[in-house]
Amino acid sequence: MNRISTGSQVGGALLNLMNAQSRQAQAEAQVSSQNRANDLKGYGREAETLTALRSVRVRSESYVAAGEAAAAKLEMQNLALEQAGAAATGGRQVIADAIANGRAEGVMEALQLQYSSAVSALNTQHQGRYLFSGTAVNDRPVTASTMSDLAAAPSTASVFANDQRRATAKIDESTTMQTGFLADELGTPLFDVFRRIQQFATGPGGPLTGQLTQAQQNYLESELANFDAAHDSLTDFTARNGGLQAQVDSSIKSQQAQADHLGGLTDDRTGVNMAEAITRLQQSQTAVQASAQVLATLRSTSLLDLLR
Amino acid sequence: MSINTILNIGVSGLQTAQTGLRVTSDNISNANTPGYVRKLVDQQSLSFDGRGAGVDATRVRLAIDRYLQGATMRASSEAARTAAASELYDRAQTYFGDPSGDDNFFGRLDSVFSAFAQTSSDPASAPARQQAISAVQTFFSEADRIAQGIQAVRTEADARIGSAVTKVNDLLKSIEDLNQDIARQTVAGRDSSGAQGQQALLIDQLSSMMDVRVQERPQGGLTLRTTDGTLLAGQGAATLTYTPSASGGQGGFGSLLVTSPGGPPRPLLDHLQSGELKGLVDLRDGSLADLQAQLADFTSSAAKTLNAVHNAGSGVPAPTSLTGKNTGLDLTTAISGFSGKTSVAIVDSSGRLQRRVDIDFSAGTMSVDGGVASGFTPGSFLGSLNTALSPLGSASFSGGALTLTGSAGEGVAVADDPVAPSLKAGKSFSSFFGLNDLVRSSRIADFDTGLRGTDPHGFTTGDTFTLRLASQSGAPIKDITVAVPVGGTMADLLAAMNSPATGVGLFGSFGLDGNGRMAFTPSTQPGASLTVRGDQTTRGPGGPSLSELFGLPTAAGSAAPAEWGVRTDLAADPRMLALAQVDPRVGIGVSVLAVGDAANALALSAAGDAAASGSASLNRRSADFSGAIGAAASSAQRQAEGASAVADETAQQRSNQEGVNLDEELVKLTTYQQAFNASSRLIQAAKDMYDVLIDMAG
Repeated sequence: MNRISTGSQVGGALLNLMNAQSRQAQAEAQVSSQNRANDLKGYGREAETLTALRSVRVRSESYVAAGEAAAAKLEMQNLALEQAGAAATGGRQVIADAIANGRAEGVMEALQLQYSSAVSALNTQHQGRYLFSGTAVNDRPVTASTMSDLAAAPSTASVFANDQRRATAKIDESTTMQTGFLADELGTPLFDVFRRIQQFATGPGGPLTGQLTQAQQNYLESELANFDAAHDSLTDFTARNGGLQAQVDSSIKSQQAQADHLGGLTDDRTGVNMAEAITRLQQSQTAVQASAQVLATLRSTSLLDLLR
Repeated sequence: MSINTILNIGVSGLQTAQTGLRVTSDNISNANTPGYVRKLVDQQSLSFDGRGAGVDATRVRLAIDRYLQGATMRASSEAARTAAASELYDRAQTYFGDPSGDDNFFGRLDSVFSAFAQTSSDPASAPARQQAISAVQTFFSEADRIAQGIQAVRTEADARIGSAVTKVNDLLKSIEDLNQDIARQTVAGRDSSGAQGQQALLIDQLSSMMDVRVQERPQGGLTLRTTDGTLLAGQGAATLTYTPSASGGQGGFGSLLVTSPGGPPRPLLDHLQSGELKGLVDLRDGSLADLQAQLADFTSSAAKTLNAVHNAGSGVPAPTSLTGKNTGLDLTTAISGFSGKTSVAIVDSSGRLQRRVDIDFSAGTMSVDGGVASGFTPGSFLGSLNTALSPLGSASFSGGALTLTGSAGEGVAVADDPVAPSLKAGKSFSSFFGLNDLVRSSRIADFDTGLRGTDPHGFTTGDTFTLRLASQSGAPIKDITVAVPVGGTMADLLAAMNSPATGVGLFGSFGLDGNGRMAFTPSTQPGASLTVRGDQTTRGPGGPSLSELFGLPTAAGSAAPAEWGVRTDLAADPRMLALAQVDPRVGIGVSVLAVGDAANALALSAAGDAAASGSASLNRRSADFSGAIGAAASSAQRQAEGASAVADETAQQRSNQEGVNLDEELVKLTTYQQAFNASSRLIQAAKDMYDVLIDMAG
């Protein structure tokens, strides 16, 4: 015989009601937070995947940041290299004009202007640090600000204060690129030319004023080719810089795409399917009502009302 | 055959009906009392001289179903055990944060590496360095906070054990008192069902605290035992004793004792299989202790990984001195066992190399500025290094720590040879001595000491230390006091510790691995666990004790936790953050350090994925750890829900069988009422018959 006790009849219905209410509360929490859970317990073993996904996403984001910092720096370098290239072209033009006119008035002053432009290009700063001084970023790479300082120095190499280590940037898992150029490798061909011209002008062949002598003309013609070579070298560096810029841009894009994709994967795992959650919420609300109805019915099914 | 007989029979009917009504009214009024067992009246017809003589209510008994009672008690013990374990473990795991958000503990480690990646873009930037230092400090402070939180949960479990023990003692005493009442009533043949009902309720409460089984005594009352037979009540009440830890568990937790009536105090844990007490003890000494140990291990690995990379670099300008950590060893022992090459460089404030001392440990030679190599031994190492560095620098060793100092205006840096780097116990020369650590701990936390069997142990002969061996459930088996032996090497010390007569040889053995880490392996699996109860040894004046040096588990259950923090001088001066690297192969006068060098910053940012030989990378371990905690917590919750569902179901069945059904009682009420009416009608009829007789006579 199956026996039921009065206490457990009501107790059972009450338990069902409370369970239904607790499921309703859970469903409500999921719908309002849009997350499946909010602690390690709620995700169980999946917490491992979430942690791993997050650390890869953060790493991708830091590569993006590193790439953007490198891109800004490469852009500044690009401007500086173009300015230095223009100084080489300008210097050549000054000499070519002097040869064409056969007169040297204002040549040294014009050359000094070009030289100053080249020096300021090589001494360019980006966010307060010198671009072309290697890792000695607080030391000005070119110390000779005038052509006479340059000529007075023991050698061209001695006016450069950069060290030999280049700046690097890690833009993705497997790429650490050297983004820096060194002032001495950029400037030595050009500065050699300026130095020789200055030494010539202050030496036995000079001064370069007024009418050009034949010897002076011959000398200046020989330096034209050297200006060309210096300009070519600088153009070469500008092209390399451009290549680095293209590489960095493409890396930023792919790292950003990866970070976005990982963010999507994480959301898939943590987010709750809203349609499912709302359905569960409605179902649990119905269950609560049903349990309450059962309790109400139990009240009226008893012999007490009948045995009078 | 007389009218009196009829009257007496009627009276017996009345009394029986009254008894029935009393029992029914008792049942009806207790219809809603949880755990109440309904009472039944046994009626028997009486006969005298072969003829019927009425009815008697022989016995009032409880409608107990022993099988269901046993099932319910087992289920409620299990439900209480899993509920206690799940609730407190849940609390502990919330300290780790939300893995879907950004502020969880494991996310902080990611922030450390991304902060270092940012410094690599602009190593000269002071704010970027400051941010990296704060990210590191936050990670370790968080680890510390979580460790303390877990300890607080353990302490709470401890306090709950204490109050549960008080409750159990009260219950046992009350049950035993009721046993005596029931026995008295039973012997006198009277109704003892009220006391029995109360006793049943008390036993139900007790079964949620610990697993018990009941047996009926012949004289009435019940004998209570634990599932494996320890007597709790029935011949006197047993008492449990337990003292909760007053120091928050710092000195370890007490042990649970049971004193059976007439017996000595014995450890209870071996006899418990279920119930809230077992759940709390398992949590406190098992799952939470393991969690703490795993957290400490993870934090130590993170510190070790970061320190190893940080030691490979240097701040700019090179710091005036590199002060090492307390290795707990003397210099001779610490230096012996190194292989490979390293260089100590003196660098001026503009980053130019002034002096280079190349040390070749494998060949045992030192050379200055690339010159002629001169030999050294571990004993003469300090003197040779001082001679090689002077007058531009010096080296000293005290309190277990090596210090390298540059003279006025000079800085010092250490760099390994790229081809054959220095190595001992898995660490480079600089990181073994902690010369340029990023984070330091409050006590020795690196237990790969590098000591080998042939190295001198360094402890004083005759000093003692006490080891406690305990069973799987935590009940202590034996305390063994070992004395440091006369022989001087580590092998001699291990032999003394492993001796079957004076050491732990009967239970397992201590061994030293290739990196100098000491561990105890029990001889059976699962075997005894070992903790250190007292330690009077010191390794040299002011040195660490044996258990401190090797990180042997203390009374608290694991090695005492180390609090990690960024080195204070580094936190105060971010320029000391080692983001640059020194190349030890350049010549004197060449620039080796500049503020824009980010080589070590890149290494630090990649440290999370660098896999040390034979073990997983830090990021991998972080993911594994978070998954393990999540899995353990959700599995504990599922177990608790399952056990609770089973307990509810069995309680429901039992209640259905033993509980009061109002309709049934109302029918019985009507029945007894009618029986009472009928008997009184019978008495009325007998009285009428008397009246007729008397009328006839008078």
